Amino acid sequence: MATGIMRAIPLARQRGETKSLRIPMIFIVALGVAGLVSLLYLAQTSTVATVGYDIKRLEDQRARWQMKNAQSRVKIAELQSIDRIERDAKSRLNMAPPTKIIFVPVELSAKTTVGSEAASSQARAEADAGAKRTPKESSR
Amino acid sequence: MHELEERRWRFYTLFTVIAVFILILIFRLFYLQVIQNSYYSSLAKKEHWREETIPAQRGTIYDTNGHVLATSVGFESLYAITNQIARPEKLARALSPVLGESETEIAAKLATKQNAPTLVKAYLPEEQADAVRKLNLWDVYFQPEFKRMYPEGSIAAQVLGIVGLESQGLTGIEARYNDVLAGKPGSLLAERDATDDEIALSASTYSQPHNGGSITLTIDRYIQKLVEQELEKAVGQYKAAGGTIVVMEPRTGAILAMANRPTIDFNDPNLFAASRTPMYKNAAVSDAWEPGSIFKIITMAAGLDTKAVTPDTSFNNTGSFAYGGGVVRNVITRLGPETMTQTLQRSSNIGAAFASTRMGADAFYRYVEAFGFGQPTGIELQGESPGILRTNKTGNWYPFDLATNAFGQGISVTPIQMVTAVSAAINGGILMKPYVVKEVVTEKERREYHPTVIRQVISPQTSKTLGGMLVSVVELVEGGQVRLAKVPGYHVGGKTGTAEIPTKEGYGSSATIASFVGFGPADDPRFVMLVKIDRPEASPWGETVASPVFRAIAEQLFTYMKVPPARAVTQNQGG
Repeated sequence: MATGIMRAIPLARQRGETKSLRIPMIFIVALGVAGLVSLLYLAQTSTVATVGYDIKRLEDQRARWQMKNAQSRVKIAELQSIDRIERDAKSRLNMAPPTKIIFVPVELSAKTTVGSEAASSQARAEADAGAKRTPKESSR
Repeated sequence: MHELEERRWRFYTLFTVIAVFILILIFRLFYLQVIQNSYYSSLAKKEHWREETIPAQRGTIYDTNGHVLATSVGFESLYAITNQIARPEKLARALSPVLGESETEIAAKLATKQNAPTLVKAYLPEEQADAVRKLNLWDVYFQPEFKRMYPEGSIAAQVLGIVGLESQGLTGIEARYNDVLAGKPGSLLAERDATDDEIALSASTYSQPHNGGSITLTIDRYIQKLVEQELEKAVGQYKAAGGTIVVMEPRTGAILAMANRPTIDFNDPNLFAASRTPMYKNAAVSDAWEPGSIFKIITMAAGLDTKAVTPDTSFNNTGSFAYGGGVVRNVITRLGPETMTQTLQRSSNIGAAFASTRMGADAFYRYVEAFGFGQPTGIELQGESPGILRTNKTGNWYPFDLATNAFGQGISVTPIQMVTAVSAAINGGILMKPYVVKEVVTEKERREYHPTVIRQVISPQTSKTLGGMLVSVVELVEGGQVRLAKVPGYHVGGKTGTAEIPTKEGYGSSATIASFVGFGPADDPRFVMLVKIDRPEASPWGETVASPVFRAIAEQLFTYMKVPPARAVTQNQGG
């Protein structure tokens, strides 16, 4: 019996010690999990924030490119304007307005039309033949 | 034991101090976060949340062939909150070489010490903006802004109209179609960090801007440019106060060109000054004038259609024509028999009065109204005047008006009314509604505008006869003198006008309005053109002042429109 009592004390003590160890262990594990979760959340938040700033930066960049695009389009329109073409034709190409315009009347009789059609079909045939020739044949 | 008690006392004291401190903190937090919640949250919201308006891009206006006449382009403007700049001189020194402005100039802008955005430089070209960005300055920032640009310069300026500083159309097409062109701005309500960037994780409300639609006009940039050049030249050459030229396609009523002098310059730094305001209006639609002899075309059309006269109807010109208590005289009188064709060729006031009185007031005014006078044409341009027309059915009309109205006195018309009416007179008799907008394209729809027939005014036969008479006016050779409107190689028709300008005292002033309205080619008219030169000092006559302008433009129009000559002219051209 005495032995039983003797045993009972260390067991209770053991149980008490285990209990007292379990709670801090749970607390430490919970703390670890919470820390990990927080760290994960922080990492994710930071990544999202960085990506967000990247998106904003890229959006700004896109807007700037679109702006430059539009400015370039206007520049093209300005270069195609009548004023600029006239100025360039006169100063760079030494051109001048025509002093006289000559109209050349072209009589298109039925015969000429047929003839020109025949000529154009011959030209087409020649062109086709040319396309079919090998490079060697072409170089002859 | 004593030591243990002392330790306990110390522990309790420390615990109490800490507990009190924590309690104070809790109470303070409770006060700030619960009791003062709404105050501080609104303060925080004001600090971090900002609604930004995203401007919509104003739409583009094209000419009939798709060339850009007016468009809006985004640029970056440089701003600063000047009262936050610690060392404005240093900033001015950094910006000066990049912006191409002197340090003093920039420093003056930065010295304003305002707690609001201050413009340092507007609309920076891309290279300049990039160069400023590379400086990594914290005191300045960019704001994207749209600028209205005109690649073809200020052509058709009064047709296009002005856009105000707030990007709203003030005159012309810009104002008339402002709802189409302006678009709808968007907005972004977002939480922002210390650098004013949006916080990625925070909720935001974004409403997308809707850019403005585009408008295609019937105006052809080449014809418009040509017309403006010739008008400018004529106004200078004849020392005139101004002028107007309108070119219309008679079959459709489409306006190919419309120009006035004086006009506005979009690059004028004083464009919004009060002295420029009178030039905003488009005189081609808003200014009515007594047309003078070009109105004889309308009188003759009515006379022929009512069959009151024919081209060969003759009367004896005695040098004066008494009617309704007044007497009509010609400027240059040829006595003797005169046919209606000769009335037009000689521009005889007496002949015109003869025709109008022969058909009677009821018929004459019925035709005048049917041709669209006394009422706006309905063209899509702002400030259109109906002109002034008094008839036998309205008040303040005298029987003598029937005689004077026949040669364009006592009646006021606008250039657009005159061109529209003459188009109807020579296109087969159909009055077309003049129009300047060909197409409107928005995000939602595409609207095409087609020619609109208003009414048949005269018969096709009358129109053909009248056209022939008007060709004879231009082709008449008198004393070896060729009419100045004649275009070599082509048949064109038309009529000159030299209108005296009425004053309170009557028609005594020597100032005139010289005009010519013509069309070509005669067999299938591709254009009707009105040339009106106001108060020319070098010569008062329509024949001397306006006809050469018509010829100069018509010659080039035929080439541009690829209209072959009416007869072989290669021999004459000589080559």
